[in-house]
Amino acid sequence: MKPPPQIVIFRIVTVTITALILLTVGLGLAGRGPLGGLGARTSQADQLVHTLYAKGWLG
Amino acid sequence: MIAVALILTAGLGILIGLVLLGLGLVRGLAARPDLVEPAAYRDEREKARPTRAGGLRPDKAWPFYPFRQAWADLGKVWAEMSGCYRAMWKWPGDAFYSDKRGSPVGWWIIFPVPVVITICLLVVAVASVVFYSLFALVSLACLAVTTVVTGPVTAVLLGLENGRRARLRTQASCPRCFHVTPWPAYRCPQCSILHRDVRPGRLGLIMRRCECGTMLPTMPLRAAWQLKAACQRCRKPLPPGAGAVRDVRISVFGDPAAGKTRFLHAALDSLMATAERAGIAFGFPDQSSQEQVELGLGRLRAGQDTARTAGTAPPGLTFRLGIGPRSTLVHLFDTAGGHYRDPEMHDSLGFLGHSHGLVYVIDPYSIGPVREHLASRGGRHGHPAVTDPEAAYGEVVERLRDSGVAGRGQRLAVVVSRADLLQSAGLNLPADSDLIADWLMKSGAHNLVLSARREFAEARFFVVASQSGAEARADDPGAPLRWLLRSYGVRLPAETSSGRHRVSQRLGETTGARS
Repeated sequence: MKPPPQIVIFRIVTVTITALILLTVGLGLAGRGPLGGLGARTSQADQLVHTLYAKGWLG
Repeated sequence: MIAVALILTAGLGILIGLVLLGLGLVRGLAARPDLVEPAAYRDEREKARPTRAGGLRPDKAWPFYPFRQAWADLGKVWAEMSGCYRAMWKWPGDAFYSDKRGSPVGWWIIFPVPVVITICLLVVAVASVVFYSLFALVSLACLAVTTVVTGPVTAVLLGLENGRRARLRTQASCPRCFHVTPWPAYRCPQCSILHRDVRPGRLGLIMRRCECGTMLPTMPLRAAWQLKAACQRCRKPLPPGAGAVRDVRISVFGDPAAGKTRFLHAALDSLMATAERAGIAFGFPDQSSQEQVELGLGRLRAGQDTARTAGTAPPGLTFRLGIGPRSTLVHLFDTAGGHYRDPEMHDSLGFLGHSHGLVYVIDPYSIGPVREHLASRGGRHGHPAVTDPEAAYGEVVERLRDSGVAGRGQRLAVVVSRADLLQSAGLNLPADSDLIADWLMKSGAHNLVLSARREFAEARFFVVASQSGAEARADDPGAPLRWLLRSYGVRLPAETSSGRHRVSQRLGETTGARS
């Protein structure tokens, strides 16, 4: 049985919102988009890894 | 080096988690969704809340997405993601942690491979749970928003519907099986299945989708004019507007040969004239009623005798006053006098209990003192009622009380028929209700008068001549019907007092002396 349009619309809306949130967060971690501020956190983590590596703590 | 490898492994796990979510969504929502179909949803509802005896079975229509399908979708997406994840573990599980593909020791010798794959799969699990949780949160937020918006709207629509039903006394009464319900069932124009409860709710707020896909309006107020109504019990068609317009039911009873059917037709004749004068539309919603009235009025206007009411179950006669949503459906029930005493006819007289108003027709010739008085004056007619009028009245009232019907919710019009014959025999009856009651008391029917006033919400007394064209006279046969209809909120022009004559001074002497 074919699902009625109401069901299809609800599904499209929820999937689209989920995808948009994931995209926004992903771009934010890369320092772009409306959540670009998250990029600073990524940089901090990156620097920490580099520092630890330079100190030889990561083998 | 190890840290870089770990970071890369984790990144790969997150990406695979994202792919898993995509797979779950595509498979769970599009490729092989778990669709909650109307029949399955109805069965679920029935199982959760079994239908009580006499209750309405849930309808077969697509449920509103947030109430059921949303949860099925969440479950299906999770099931698809879990399935994919389990499939991903199959080879590494067999190879690294069991002997199914030979000894796993070989794999652990090349140490990093099993560890990297295991860590990657664990990250996939965490990422999948996080991504699925995000999808679930979004779905739940959509559900919450929808519920917040639709909840109050549903409450308002149901309140409006209930208010309108209470104010206009809209009900659906079947003239065939006499079943009365707050609203009728409505038939889908496409697949003809019945929708028994079209109020806003789980199956739709403004519109609902039938199992066949047809969009149907919710609320009897709208459905009544767009769909075909049917009786909830016998499934026979009901007039357009049933369940959305005022519904008044009036039963006419009395002894055999008391003149009930003739009174009914004469009353209708008078009411049609009143409606025409007032510019109120008058019509019959079904052919059977129209033919029945046309036949009766034809006989009445030609001065012929009215046919005796058939001994079979009495059909209702329905007419409509007014047009559209503000109109009124009036059902008149006329039954053969002998039915009240027949225990086998008990079920076929169900309309008595559902009637708003009752009309009790008395043949004055059946009242002993009146008969004797008229006989002394040579006044007689061909087919007098032979039973004591108090006996027939008592049978009906007893029947009503035995059925648990509260008489205080019904109005009674006591109609003394054949005023024309009485007048020609020199007996002028009063026109005022109280004076007629006094006359009946003096004539020996005092138990009837006392009981009528005690047992019913209101009782009025009328004297009528069941003739055509009597609407302007004091003995207008339409007066009882108009009184009952007005009592139940039907707008009719004010009663004219023209022609309503005074009580004859001789009445007390002629009949009162004997009682």
